[in-house]
Amino acid sequence: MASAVGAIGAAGAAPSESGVWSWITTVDHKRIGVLYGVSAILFFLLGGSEAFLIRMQLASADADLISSGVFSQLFTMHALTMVFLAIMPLGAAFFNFLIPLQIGARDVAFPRLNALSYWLFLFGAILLNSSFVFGGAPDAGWFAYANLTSSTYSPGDSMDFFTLGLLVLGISSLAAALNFVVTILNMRAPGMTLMRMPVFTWMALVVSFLLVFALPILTVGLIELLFWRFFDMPFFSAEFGGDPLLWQHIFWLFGHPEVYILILPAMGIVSEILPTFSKKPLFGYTAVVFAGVAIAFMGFAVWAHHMFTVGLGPVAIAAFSASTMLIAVPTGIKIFNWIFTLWGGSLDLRTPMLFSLGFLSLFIIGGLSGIMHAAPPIDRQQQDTYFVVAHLHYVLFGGSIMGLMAGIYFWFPKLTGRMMGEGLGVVHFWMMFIGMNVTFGPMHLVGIMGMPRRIYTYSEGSGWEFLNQLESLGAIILALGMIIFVVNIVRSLRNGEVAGNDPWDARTLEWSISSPPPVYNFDAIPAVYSKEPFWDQKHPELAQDKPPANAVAPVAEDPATIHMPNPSYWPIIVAFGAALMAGLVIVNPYLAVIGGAITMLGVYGWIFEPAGPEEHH
Amino acid sequence: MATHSTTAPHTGPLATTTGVDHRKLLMWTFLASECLFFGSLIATFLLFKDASVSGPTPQEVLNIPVTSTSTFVLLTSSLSMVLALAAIQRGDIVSGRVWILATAVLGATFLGFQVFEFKEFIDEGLKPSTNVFGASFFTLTGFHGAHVAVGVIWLMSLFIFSFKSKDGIPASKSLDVELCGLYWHFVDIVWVVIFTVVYLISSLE
Amino acid sequence: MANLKNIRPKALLGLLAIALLPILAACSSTDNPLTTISPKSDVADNIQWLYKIIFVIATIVFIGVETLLLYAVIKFRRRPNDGIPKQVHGNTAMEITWTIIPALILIAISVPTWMTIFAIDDVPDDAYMIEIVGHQWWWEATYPDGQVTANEIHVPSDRTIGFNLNTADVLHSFWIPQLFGKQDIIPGRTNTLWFTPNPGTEGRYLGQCVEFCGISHANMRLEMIVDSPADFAAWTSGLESPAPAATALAATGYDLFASKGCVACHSISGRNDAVGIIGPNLSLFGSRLTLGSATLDNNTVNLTAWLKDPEDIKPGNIMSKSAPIYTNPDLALNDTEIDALVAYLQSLK
Repeated sequence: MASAVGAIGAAGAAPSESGVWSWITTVDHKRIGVLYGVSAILFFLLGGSEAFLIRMQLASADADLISSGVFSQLFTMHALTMVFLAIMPLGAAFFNFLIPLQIGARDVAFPRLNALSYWLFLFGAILLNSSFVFGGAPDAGWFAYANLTSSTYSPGDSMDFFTLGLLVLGISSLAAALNFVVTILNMRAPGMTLMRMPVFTWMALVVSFLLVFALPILTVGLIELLFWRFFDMPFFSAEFGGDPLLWQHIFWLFGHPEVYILILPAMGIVSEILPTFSKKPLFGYTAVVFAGVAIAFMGFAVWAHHMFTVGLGPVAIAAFSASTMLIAVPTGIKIFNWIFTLWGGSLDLRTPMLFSLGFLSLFIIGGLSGIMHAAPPIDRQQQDTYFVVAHLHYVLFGGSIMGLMAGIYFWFPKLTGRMMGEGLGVVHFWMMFIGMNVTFGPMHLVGIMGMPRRIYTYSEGSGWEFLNQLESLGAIILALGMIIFVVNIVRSLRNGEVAGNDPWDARTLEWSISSPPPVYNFDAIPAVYSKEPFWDQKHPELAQDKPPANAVAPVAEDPATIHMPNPSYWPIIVAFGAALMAGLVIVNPYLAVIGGAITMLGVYGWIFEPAGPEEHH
Repeated sequence: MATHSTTAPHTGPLATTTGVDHRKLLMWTFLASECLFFGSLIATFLLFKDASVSGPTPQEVLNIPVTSTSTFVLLTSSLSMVLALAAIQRGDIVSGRVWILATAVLGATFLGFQVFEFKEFIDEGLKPSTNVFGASFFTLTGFHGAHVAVGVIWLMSLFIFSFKSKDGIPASKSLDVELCGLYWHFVDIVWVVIFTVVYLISSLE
Repeated sequence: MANLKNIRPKALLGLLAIALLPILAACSSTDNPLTTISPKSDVADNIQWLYKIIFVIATIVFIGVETLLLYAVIKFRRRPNDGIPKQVHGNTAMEITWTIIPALILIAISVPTWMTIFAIDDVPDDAYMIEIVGHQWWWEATYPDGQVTANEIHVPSDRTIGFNLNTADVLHSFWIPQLFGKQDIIPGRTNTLWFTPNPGTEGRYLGQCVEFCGISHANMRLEMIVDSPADFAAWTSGLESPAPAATALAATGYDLFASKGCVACHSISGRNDAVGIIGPNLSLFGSRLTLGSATLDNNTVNLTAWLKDPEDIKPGNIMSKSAPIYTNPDLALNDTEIDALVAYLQSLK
């Protein structure tokens, strides 16, 4: 296993590129992708454990396995962990690893900024989770509605860990988003117009713009929350003329684009896997791309559908209902295009395809329950019940997680040079698929039967007992499935079947290079003439867009002359300074200056770091 | 800020698909996110400017003549920034240094006005915690001031860095100054919006 | 390897039938007091009407799209001698079709949706308005003639009822699923909602706070009792009248209620010394069907347990956190005192 991991990072590199220090100072997008991916999977297991405890408490009526106070921390941290520390970083892992490979580049536009994003994420995640040992984790829900989050009703530091942890994580994501926007717009191989980019890269571009526009809004909300709690600035205090609803508007103006940030990477992944495993191109490439862009734009116009029951007035409610329903149109366009990608194809039903099909079938269910919520009168019965919990898990677990799992099985060979075990993969899939439906399917019902969210217990006689037991059983199935997944990864790293460049007979550029790729990615930056350059290279007679007769083949560069960016320790120093500053604010705002000083020093060190080309090989 | 090599070896500017330098594209995209940042702060201010239950109101504390002066100072600093970039692009070392320093000094002067204004308000009974007008005013203008301060530090760093070599900042590195200029002009435009929304509109009521 | 070829249509239908059973069960409001699909009022009926329309359309779409998907997966799975299939890139006519048809369906759904939004929004002018205040973790209700009660809210069955919703502390949400959809309660504003009970729906209805409001959010429940007009009149006048003469034990309880400090937080009509407003109004407590904001049946065993250790039943509640009899071991109630207080409270009929 160590040798396979070493192979990932050290292909073609000198011995100084192995060891812990090489990982701490790496600016290689492939290694940073691995760092994100491994961290994300670990946090996914942590978030899953928090959910598991929730399900054990709710398995029976009037249970006292877990007290109310601990339960509130669990449901809050479960959501925060899954959204910010699992799904988003898994997306980042894929963006990092794949985008340069898919666009024919050697790295991202700003490799050190890329490393900074990872370290900020890790330190922010640690800061947030350290709350468990420093007086208690945040416990007001991941959405942290004011005024429960005031210093009166949430005394102690828990909500400050929330605010400051998310501020650090926000900077991490913003930096990454800026990096990917520049990379995708500016570093495409010659001939790769925007409409020839792989759909995954397109979705990465859309997600990056969503982050650029949505994160600053959350940042302002968090700053207002921080100032309210620390300095008594009455933003959300009604008695001073403030408004708790301001928090809700700000949070959901970020929060709704956030859910598209969570789903679009998985949609991009599935848009790559379905064509590969059907042996035909994506049906309706242009429509799928434009639908993704439309979803992103429209996603900024629907936020108040999370607030249908706060008393906005019928006109506002009707308007947001209309915009919410309309978002189903581009979503439906994508779903139909995916189905017709399969249509008439030759379907290979190995694990990546199974997870992609699972994504498709489960996301449809999540979308339909969403349509119901979009009707405000119905929402007045469904809001804050388990029906919403069912909806969100079908789209985030059945959607995002299944899609991301598909991506792991699909690109694992490219990353490591080895295939993941197919037998264990199939078992993992079915346990996820069945477990998911057994856990979250009944939640539709129990929500219709009136079970509210965020309750640590319910009474005998409510009628919810059997279904809750069933859901908890489903959680056990999911847990077992995840264990199998981890076992599969470990075994495959050790002695998975050797993969070769192109184990799946795939279609895009990353499959044209070795597995794992050399540190400089491409011997020759490719020239691109179509949407599926690698497939068209393998099957020129089938190509829709053929290279012109006078096309010149790119010349391979001598690896010894390819200068890759130098490793650097400044990103981790700056990240550490920033996270320290955030953490010290909780202790004493004046002490935070120490963190600020480290950050400043790090920034200047970064700026003046010698940049000249140094030989690596 | 010093350039650093990104990927392929190159002499001269790196070829990019859009033709825009990586760092310039980065700065523009970053400024787009800043629009949302200040937009949210401005929206909060607009929501709360007349919602205070007690304490001083905008009409009672805002001093249009003084703030008009500081606005003029900041706008002038944008002019000096433009002149700085022009000087560097034509290789005029001395003028380049002078105009960069002038921009920094004007920016610092603006900050001095802000500090004065904040002190005045606190003496008149408007603290950030007094009421929602105070909270939203100080947060909005405070963060704007912080952005100006970062700009001043950046300008002073450029100024000091220009003495590393007797040739100052060469025309080939004018992008370093141009990036600072983009940021500086943006911060200035945000101030124009703040001045209009906070000071001029409030005083009309 | 996936065994899709082995799936038999009958097995699938069987699964579907099993899946439908719980839905039918959810209609039963005796087994599921908080069910949202057993409407007993005009407003709840309106919501149910809309829900049925959208549920049917969603089910049709679900069956249609999932069947299409399943069919594709089965029909086009790879066979040993498959070559490369035809490389189809798209079809503009299909794109237009599946853009326009869903849009039309959604616009069609919007019409009944908007109708219902406006139908259930505005409180009718003739509504009988009750003032509701949400507290951590109980409900206060004040009637138009000034009577105050807590957690068990009676309403007459022969008219439209409206509520003005306020909070004393944090966000709450007021909800009795069989009678009306929820509205959140936000500091600084007064939200409203209303309903008219359907004929013949007198009885008990359970509700719950549905906006996370802290440690005992799960315990913040309520009962709405739809009374016949006669019963309602009797109840409201009972709220105002002093408690009748009671047993000696109850009389001891009466005195303890003052000497142990309960009067600092609780009001009981007819007692000039009990005018506290921090805690629930306890007038007519003996007639209430539940205690602890509808978490337990109101009987001797539960009431005794509540007085002995309220923190155990409702973690974090203000009484166990700040009443001297619970915070100061020297002032704790002994069993005799508890029995007396129980007798007194049960005598408040």
